[in-house]
This record gives sequence, C-alpha cells and structure tokens, in this order.
Amino acid sequence: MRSMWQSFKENRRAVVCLWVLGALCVSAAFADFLTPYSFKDEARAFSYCPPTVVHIMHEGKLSRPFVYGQRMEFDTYHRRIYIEDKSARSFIKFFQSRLFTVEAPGRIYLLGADGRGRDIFSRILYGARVSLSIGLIGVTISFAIGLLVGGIAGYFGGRMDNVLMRLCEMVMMVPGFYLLLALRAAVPDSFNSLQVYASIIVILSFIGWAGLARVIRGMCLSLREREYVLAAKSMGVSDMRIIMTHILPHTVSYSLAALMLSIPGYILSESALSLIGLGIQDPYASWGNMLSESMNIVRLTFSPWILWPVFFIFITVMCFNVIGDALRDAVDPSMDQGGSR
Amino acid sequence: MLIETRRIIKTFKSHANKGLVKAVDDVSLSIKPQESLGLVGESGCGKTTLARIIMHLVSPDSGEVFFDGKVVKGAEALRLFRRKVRMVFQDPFSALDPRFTIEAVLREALVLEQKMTCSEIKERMARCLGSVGLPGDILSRYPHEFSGGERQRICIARALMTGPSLLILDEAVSSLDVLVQQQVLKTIDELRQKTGLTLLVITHNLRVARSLCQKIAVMKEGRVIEYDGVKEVFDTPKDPYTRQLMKAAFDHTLAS
Repeated sequence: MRSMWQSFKENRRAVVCLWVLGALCVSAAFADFLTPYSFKDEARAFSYCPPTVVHIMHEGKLSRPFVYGQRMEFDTYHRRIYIEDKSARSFIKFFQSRLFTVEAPGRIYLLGADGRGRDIFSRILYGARVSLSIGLIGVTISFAIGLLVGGIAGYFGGRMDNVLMRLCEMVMMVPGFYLLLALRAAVPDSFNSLQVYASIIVILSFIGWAGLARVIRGMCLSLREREYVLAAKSMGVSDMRIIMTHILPHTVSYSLAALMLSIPGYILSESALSLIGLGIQDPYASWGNMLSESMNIVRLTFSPWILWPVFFIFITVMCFNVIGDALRDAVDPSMDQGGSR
Repeated sequence: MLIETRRIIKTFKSHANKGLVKAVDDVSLSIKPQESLGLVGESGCGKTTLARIIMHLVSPDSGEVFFDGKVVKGAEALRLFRRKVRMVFQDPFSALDPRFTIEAVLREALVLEQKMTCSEIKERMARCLGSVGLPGDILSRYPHEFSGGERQRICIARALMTGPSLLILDEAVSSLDVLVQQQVLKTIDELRQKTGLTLLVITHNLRVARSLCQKIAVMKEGRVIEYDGVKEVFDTPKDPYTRQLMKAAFDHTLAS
C-alpha cells in the first residue's frame, strides 16, 4: 500500500484534486456554519437577485464590509432588475452563530438568488451534502455487493459462477438510466425526503454493482489458484474467510481505482434524477434539483447565476476522475505477484 | 496404519484430446505411524493430485482415504483431520500470502484449535519457529523479507502449529537451491526424530526421498509401479522405469 500512495503523491494534479474534494467535503459538513442562510430561507422580494457585491468603501471613506440595499425595478422590457440603493447600508457581521451574515433588512447573495430568493451559495453547500454523500454511500454499497458477488462467483466457480454472472448480465443488459427511472417509479410517493434519499442510494447501488462484480470475478478466478489459498484450505480455514482475507484484499488496488472512477456516475445520476424532479424534493437542496429552474431558457438568459451548481458538479466529477486515473496509474503491478519475486 | 488410501481413482477431463486423463489410477498406499513414505515420479504422474486427495482438498472418483483406521466423515472428523494432517507446499514464494505478517500466517494455522490465550499462542509460535531454526522476533515481518529457504521454514513452522501427526511435503524443497535444500532437509529430519512425526514426502528428486524415507512408492502415469522399502527400491529396482529414474538421478554422464 505504501508504494501505491507514494506514486500517487507524485501526481501533482491528483493531489490538488484531492485537496479540492477535501475542501468541498469539509464545507459540506460545516454548511450550517459557513453559509449565511439556511437552505430553505426564502425572501420572495429578492427573487432572482443577482450576486451581491461586498463593498468596503462608502462615499470615499474606508468602512467595515457592507452591502447596499437592493431596490427592484422593471426595465423597458418589463424584466425585473435590481439596483443598489446607496442610502441603505447593511453591515456584514462575522462569527455570530454563522461565519458571516448581514444586518437586516439587507440580504447577501454571494452567488445570486433563486426564484424564491434563496441564497444559491448556501444551497450549493447544503446540496453538496446530498450530492457527495449519495455518491460516496452509493458507491460503498454497490462495491460491497460487487466485491462479494464477484468474490463468491470467482472463488467457487462452476454453477455458482454461472448463476451469479447471468444475474450480473441481466442487470447490465438494461440501459442504466431507464432502469433508474423504472426503479424510482416503484418507490411509493408517500415517502418523506429522508426515505426518498435512502431509496435513491439503494437504487443507484443496485445498478452499479454488476460491472465490478464481473471484473472481480475474473481476478478471483486466478487468485484462487495461488498456493496460499490452497494452504489456507488445507488448514481448515472456511471459504468465506478465505475470500475475505486472501482473495478480496488482493483486488484492493484495482477496486480502489475503479471505485473512484465510478463515483462521478452516481453524482451525475442523482443530479439527473433530481433535475427531472424524481430525486431530492424542494425545499431540500441537491445540485440536481437546483438546476431544474434552469430548464427554462428565458430564466437562464436573464439570470445565468442559477447555473452555479453545474460548476460544482463539473469540478467534483473532474476531481474524482483525475484521482481515479492517478490511482489506476499508481496501482503497483508487482504488488500482487507474490512480493519481491 | 496412520493413513491409508484404498484404490483411489481420479480422472480429469482433458481439453487437449477431448478425452479423460487418469491422474490417479487405482492407488493403494499406507503409512505406519512414525514411518516416512517417499512418493516419487516425474512431473504429471499424479503425485500432487494424490496428495490433494489425501488432504481432502480434492474428492476422488472412487476409493477411500483412511485416517487412524477410519474414513474421515462429517465436519467434526474433518476438523480433527485438518489439525492432525498438515501439508507443506511446493512454492515457498506463493504459499505465503504477501499481505500477511508472519504472525498472521502462524495465527491463521490455529483456526481450528480450541481457544488459546494470547501468551499460549505467542509461546507456541516461538516454539514452532524455534524448531525450524528461525528466531522468534520475526513475527511482525512480511514474507518478502525472507529468502526461499527461510520461507519454506516458515511454511513448515505453520504446519507444525497444531502439533500434527502426519506432514505431507509436496515437493517442499524442490524449488530451493542445493545448499538450502540440504539445510531444510536436515531440519525436517531433526523434527522427525524429535517429535516422531510421520512424513509423506512427494518429490521427483530421488536423493531427497532416500535421505528422509524408509519406504518408497514410484508413480508413473497415475499408477504405483513400485512400492517397497527404500533399500530394496534403490538397490534392486524391479521396474525398468525405476531403473531409468535411478540412472537419471545418479548417473552424471549425459551420454547414455
């Protein structure tokens, strides 16, 4: 494991991506503190308010950071526009149960507001909780299934192998997104948001395990011929224990890379589901359902800042891909060839 | 008889000529307690398959294996059998999981033992390592840090952890170079004299068989073609194939 980590560290890009992801995860975890508003804090008067500018100069004098008030007007095309009201100043307050807030009646929208005047920045951080955790938990569950099924199929071989692999093929046969929709349709609509969240994770993991199981099975077919497996058998170690201690650990380097590379798929699937309204429901935020507003092209041209979640999805997916690639390159082929032979 | 095989037959499907290959063909052997039997033959003659059948890793098509006069039947009997009959494998480089420390390797050997306290386990590990001439302070190290001979000693120590009565050595020294071979053989011989261990030595090397065994069985194409005391086989080989083997092993001139 050490040599794998070391060659991973030499890949600068991947290390940067790891830091970015780490920062994203930490901000999601501390969203309650880092954001100025809660994800459902509405202010209808500020509907589609553009990003607010934080000022430190007022009438030529240096001042505490503050924001001007926003006055809503309609332009010649009867579009809603916001004009800064220089007479009303709201100072930014720091470390008052949240990292920064602004004095009433001002509102601070670092990345703009959505249709109900909710802060997009806050919602992105809260949404990161959902989007990142669905990716990570989903991938964990489906990898647990994939490793177990692949391990059992490869280790026992024969009929067991046949049955399990046909099962895999049945799952892989159905195009992923339609299977996702079909399974989602099977979830009762009386579910509350937490249950929906859990059911989405289960659905995503149900789709994802098959591909991994096939690869792991192939690796196990060769791993089970190793003499230490035979030795363990001859000493009376149980089959499940052999799979857990002698077979699956040797696939770790591969599956770690595969794991990283498949997380983006989960994040994107969740976003797609939420985008078409089948995933996380308003008022709860996820990067996908925040984007559903931007399906309206007029809204999008007037207030392009509602596309911010795209940027975060893009960054996250790219980071996972770069890390996955780096891990795949770092997988030391000599690791599993019986040591230093 | 400590272990006895009766009319063992095992056939494999062959992909090459779409037929059946008789790997083990009607083999009956027996070993008395504290006796050593050498199973000799060229590669592919069915020695290893027979060993695996004796170990109950492969089930034979027909025939039976008796341990202490009884067929091993049921989970409980198999557990006892697994503790009392241990095997050392051919390739010391792949017989130890590269991810296991020596301590984990030795601890794994105890899965079927009754619960032991930590100090008992430690003591037994030290004793087994000591009996194969290894220091007791290597427990936290990994297999790749050891040479082939040392690894094979670790394998033997692992086999000794449960205090077996029969040790099957499947080409246990074949992949080691001659000097190391000698040392490991010496260790095994000492062990046998000290503990009264019964050995089944599977080898293609006649010298190894001669140095360890009282009886020799020669296998060819799955059959036992000669089965006698070591002196008889070496001094007056009856089968032409045995004579050929002897010649190949002890005649150093290549011209024939």
